[in-house]
Amino acid sequence: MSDAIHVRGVSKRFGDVQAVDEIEFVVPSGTLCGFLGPNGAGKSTTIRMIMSIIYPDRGDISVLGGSALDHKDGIGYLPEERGVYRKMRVADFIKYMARLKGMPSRGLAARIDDWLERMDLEGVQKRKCQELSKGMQQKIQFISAVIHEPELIILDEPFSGLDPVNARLLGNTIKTMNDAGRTIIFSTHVLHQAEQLCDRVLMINKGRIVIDDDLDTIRRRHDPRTLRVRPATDPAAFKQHAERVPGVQSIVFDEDPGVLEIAMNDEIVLDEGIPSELVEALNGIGPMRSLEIRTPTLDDVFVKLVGTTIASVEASETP
Amino acid sequence: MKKSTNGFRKIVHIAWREIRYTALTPAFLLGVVGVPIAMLGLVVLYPLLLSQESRPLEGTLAVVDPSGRIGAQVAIILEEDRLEDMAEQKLKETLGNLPLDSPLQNAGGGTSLFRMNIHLFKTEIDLEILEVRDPQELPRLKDRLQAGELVGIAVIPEELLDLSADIDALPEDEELLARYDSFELFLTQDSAPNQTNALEDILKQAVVEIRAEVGDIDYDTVQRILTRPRVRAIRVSESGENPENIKIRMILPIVLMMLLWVSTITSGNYILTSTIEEKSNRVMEVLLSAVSPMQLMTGKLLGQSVVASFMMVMYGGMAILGLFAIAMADLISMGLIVLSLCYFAIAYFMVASIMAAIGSAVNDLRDAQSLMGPAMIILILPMILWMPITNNPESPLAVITGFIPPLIPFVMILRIASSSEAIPLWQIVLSLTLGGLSVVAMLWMCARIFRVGVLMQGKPPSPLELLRWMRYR
Repeated sequence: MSDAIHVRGVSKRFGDVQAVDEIEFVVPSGTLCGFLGPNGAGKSTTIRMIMSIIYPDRGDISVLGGSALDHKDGIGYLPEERGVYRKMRVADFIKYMARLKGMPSRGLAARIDDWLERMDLEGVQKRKCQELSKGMQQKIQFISAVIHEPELIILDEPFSGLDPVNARLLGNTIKTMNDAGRTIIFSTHVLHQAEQLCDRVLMINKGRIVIDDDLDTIRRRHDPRTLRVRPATDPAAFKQHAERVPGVQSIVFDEDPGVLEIAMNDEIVLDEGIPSELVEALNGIGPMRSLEIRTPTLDDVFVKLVGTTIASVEASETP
Repeated sequence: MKKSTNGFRKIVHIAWREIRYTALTPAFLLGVVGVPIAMLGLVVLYPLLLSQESRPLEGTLAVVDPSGRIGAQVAIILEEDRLEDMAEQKLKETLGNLPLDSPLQNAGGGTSLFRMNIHLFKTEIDLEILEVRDPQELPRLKDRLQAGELVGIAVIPEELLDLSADIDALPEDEELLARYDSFELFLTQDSAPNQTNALEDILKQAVVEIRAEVGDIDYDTVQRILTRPRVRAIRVSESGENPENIKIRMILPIVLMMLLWVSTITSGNYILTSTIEEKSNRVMEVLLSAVSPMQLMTGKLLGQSVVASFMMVMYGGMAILGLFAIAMADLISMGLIVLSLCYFAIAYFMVASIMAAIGSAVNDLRDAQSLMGPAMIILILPMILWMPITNNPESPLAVITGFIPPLIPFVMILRIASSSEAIPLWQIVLSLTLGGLSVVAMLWMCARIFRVGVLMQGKPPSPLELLRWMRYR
């Protein structure tokens, strides 16, 4: 599998701020890659450098085997800043962007109609962009980014500002395009969106890549250390006894008060399943309705690697 | 793997969008196409419409004149159809204050504006003269006037033709004195102004001519004596003798320079506002995902150059048509037109690239004002230098400023149009070369600023920061 994007030792500084610091990663062709990280982590700067809109101070970026400047027509890009020509009609705007992306005018009108229908925007062709809601304008801009059927699609925070219905519609469209063979990289700071869509994850924090792998490997590598137990008896009494089981580090109640989350210490290995001695020890306390290993979320992984949550990072960055 | 398509095609798309959303809008078409056409239409059609509108003077004019000479003289004037000469004379008096010397005086072609405007002063007349010697008849004539049988009654006092009277020796009686220098003209209630004017003109002319007869003076001789002669100034130089036309030499350069200035500044302003709009609408980054900053700027400059050229053609064409209309088209030579186009190209690309760079560096028009200040001061300099340069197009000031890049096109147009002598060829070639080189340099510098500026948000940069942007990789 060839690489759609190859970033080698790239750094970028704005004044005193080191926006991106010696990052390296690849995005193989055909993947649906989530580019994750808190606000201000360097996602948009990296994307702009990939697009050759700005240039790195150091390092080298290869896109579709060359510079993005040479392959602009093969790339679809939805920037973080949403923008349309307010006084242009919707169809004219999409047509203009498609023509700039090298599409011939023949068959373009039909394709525009088709895309508007796919994005639940039938009948807006003749309306001026300024007459549409922000969410609709965002979908128009998404259409203008992908209408030329690019090989590589780069979406910077595509879900921000969309209601849940439209976010799901956009997510499904992205998935469909990836199934059709397109390489897609999208940035987001909402990790569960990436978990639902991606097969590969890039995580960036303070300008450095902290994760670059496919989702399954990440979950396996960042080994689970927590069990979820639903006791059939009194959960408080179960908790009291379970704290004395060897290998248990701490126990907390889940949001569901009938469920306990038991964190294990490093002596217990859960990679191959729950050890039988542990199951027997817990069974000895009392009957259980369920016992399972809790799969780590990307947020858990981020916390493990960075020591804090994305929300905390964003809160600390807010002046 | 999909490679990017021809960059030139993308530039053409950008240029076309600039034209489409600047020049093909109702406001632009109204202002740049509608206004000149309306003005031209007004100049051409207005006199014709007016002449068709003016009411003919038909009927009987009663002339109460004890001497019996005025009525006969009016009949002679009408019979000899001297009205057109009178209209021409009146038009010359009216236009006499315009700064148009010999070409207007010599204008004689049937299509000239001068000829057309005679219609303004001419009324179709078909009059019968009723001569009445007895002033006692006046009440009865007034009854006939009210009944619509007469178009007017002129009452000529005997004193009006008395040239022997010593006016200063007469008693201070206003009514008596008025009889020596005026006459009464009674008109119907619905008499039109053009009819009144025509009657007055004919009667006054008849009185003057009869007075000449009474005084035994040749009227034509007197008229020639009283007409101040025109001056045909001629400049003598090594290359020969050229007719001098000071007023035209003062006006033509400023008209040409203003045409250059207005069309380039207006188009430059369109580039400024459209770039700011793309930044404030956040559409800039979308565009830059499809084209490079250089392609974007080139497309904008080319698109607006078409708009600017269109403005030049509309207003310049109207000015040339105007010169044809007043038979002065020979003032514009083909050489002047070609040089004007060359200097227009230099002026346009200089101004437009500056405006594009400023537009890219700011987020709204208010911020643009602070950066436009220094640029506008330079661009206003030709206005300040207009008088000294046109007064002496060969002065050191004119020659030197004609080689300073931002001023080159404006100063050179002023010099070429105002100089009665041909500007030395080396100066024209040098100015065009310097202008061309400075356009290239300006485009390069502004493209460097544009490339960085289009992605910048926040407070506008200082001029020093703009210089730093040029060095960015």
